[in-house]
Amino acid sequence: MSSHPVVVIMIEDDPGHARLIEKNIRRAGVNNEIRHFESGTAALRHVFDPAVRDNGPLLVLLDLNLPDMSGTDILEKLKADDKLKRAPVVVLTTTDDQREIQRCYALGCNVYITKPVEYETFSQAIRQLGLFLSIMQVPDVP
Amino acid sequence: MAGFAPALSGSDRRLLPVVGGFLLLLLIAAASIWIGISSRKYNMLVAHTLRVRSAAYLLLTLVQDAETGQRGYLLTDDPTYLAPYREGADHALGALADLESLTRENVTERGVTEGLRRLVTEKLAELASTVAANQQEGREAALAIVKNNTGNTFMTEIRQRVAAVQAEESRTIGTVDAETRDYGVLLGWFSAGGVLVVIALGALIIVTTRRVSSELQRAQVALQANNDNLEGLVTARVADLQAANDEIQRFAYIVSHDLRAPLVNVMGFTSELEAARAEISAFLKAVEAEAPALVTVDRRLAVETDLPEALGFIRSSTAKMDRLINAILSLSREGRRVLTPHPIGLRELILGQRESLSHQLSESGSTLSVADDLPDLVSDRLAIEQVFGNLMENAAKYLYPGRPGEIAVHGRKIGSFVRYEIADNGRGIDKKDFERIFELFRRSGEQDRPGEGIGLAHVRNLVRRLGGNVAVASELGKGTTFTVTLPAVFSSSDRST
Repeated sequence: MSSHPVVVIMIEDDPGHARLIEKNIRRAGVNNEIRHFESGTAALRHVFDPAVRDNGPLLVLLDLNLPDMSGTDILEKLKADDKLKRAPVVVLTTTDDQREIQRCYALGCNVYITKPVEYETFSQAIRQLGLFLSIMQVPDVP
Repeated sequence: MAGFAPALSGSDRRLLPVVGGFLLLLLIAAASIWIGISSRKYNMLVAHTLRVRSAAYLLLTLVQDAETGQRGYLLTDDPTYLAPYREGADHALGALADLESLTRENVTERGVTEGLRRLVTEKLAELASTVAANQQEGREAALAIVKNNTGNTFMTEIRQRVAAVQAEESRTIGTVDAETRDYGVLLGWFSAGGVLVVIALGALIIVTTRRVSSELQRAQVALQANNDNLEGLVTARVADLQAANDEIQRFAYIVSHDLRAPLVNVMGFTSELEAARAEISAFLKAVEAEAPALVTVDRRLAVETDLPEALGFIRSSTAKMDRLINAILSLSREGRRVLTPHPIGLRELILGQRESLSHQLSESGSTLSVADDLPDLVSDRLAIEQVFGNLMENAAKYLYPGRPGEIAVHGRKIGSFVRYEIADNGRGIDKKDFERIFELFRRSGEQDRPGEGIGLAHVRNLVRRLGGNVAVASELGKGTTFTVTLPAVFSSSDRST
């Protein structure tokens, strides 16, 4: 088991959502590093950088509606990679379409959270995610 | 279809010469009959004339026979000659009576034959007197009577009279003959004209019929072409509509998703603002404790009243917007769902739905009856459930104040369609809202019941997708009847979206 703390990769094009997610994660008492990317391209470039890919456990917070590519494409790429496929992926999006959800799970997403407009529900979900983050064990990259 | 009306009136016009020709033919036939009758009359006249002439001739012959017999007897004194005399004398009066009866009708003829009786009678009397004189007083006495020449005079007059009768008859027959010849010529012309007209008409009818049938054939070919074209056109249009509909569904889906994202922010940061306000409020209390002069009424109102009020409105409006967006989303999702036909026992389905409404119904003392003979159908089960669920829920929801609801579901089969009626005695819908109620987010009447104005829009959308339609009839304060007409057997190829 690695002593490296989990790094949170947040792929989210809406800065408001990103900020709200971050705030709520912090409120849950999670202090892990959060790296925020506003586009799929930038996020992929970062995680496929060997320095990141081979070092330390990651957790991906993924929004499905991105300007440059679809979130499922990113999910596919992550899960096709030998090392990155171990990183848990939490899909966080406004889409609550059943087919979309099924597709994400089929592609290997670990948790699917619909962003509710109801803020309390939203922040609660994020806080629970934070709690989950604080206790979860992510397999280290060998 | 528009091309047919003028063609019809055109053939009406074409009929005119045909009708006229037939009238002409009728006229010719009438003339022929008239001429026929006339010639029959002529024939009868000729026969009559011949009879008169022969009667007159017979009379003359008989009188002459009698005279010849008398002369022979007087010459020879041989009684054998009395036989032809008696023969003639006996039959002459009969012949005279025949002649008289034949000529009684005709004034001219009667004038000619009158007088004959006196002459014949007197001639016969003279003959008889000579024969008698010869038998009783001897030849000399008889010859003396002959010699005074009266017999001869009578005979001459009789001959003249008979000749006059013959002449009169000849004249009459001549006139009639000329007339009849004219009629004959006329009949000939008429018949020839008739034949010509018949030939012309026949030709005209053949030409007309040919033209009409070739026009019909052309029209048929054009119609067939139109039909073929129409099918293609309809297919193309349906495909276009399908594409447009798909586009709208996608549009609705994308828009509602994209609208949701900013809404999450509005809601989220409103909550952040509330949290911040709570901090400020606490701070204000602390300030008030330390330096009360700093906390003016305005400042307190701003933090304690104005800010919560503003935040409250933002919150309730965002919540409402979220509900609307969700409605559009679910409609568009429903619109993209593939409909699959299954046999549905509608009565059982509705009884099941009544079960889930039972709490609402018993609360208001309402009843919902379902006809035993409700026809079944083959359709998409979920869609049918939603259609009837919405309509029955509405019926149970919009009651007339203080009157328990009576809801009745009926149905019958009409050809390849089934028609269902959901009738209630509720508060009714204003006539001007009949169309509005089917529109998204629109509602009718007093807004005292929860709802977003989605149900009926959803119902109409579904019914249309199932190839049917929904209509409303209602009277304010009396009740409402929704009529749903659906294909008895829905095949998903009809509407594939």
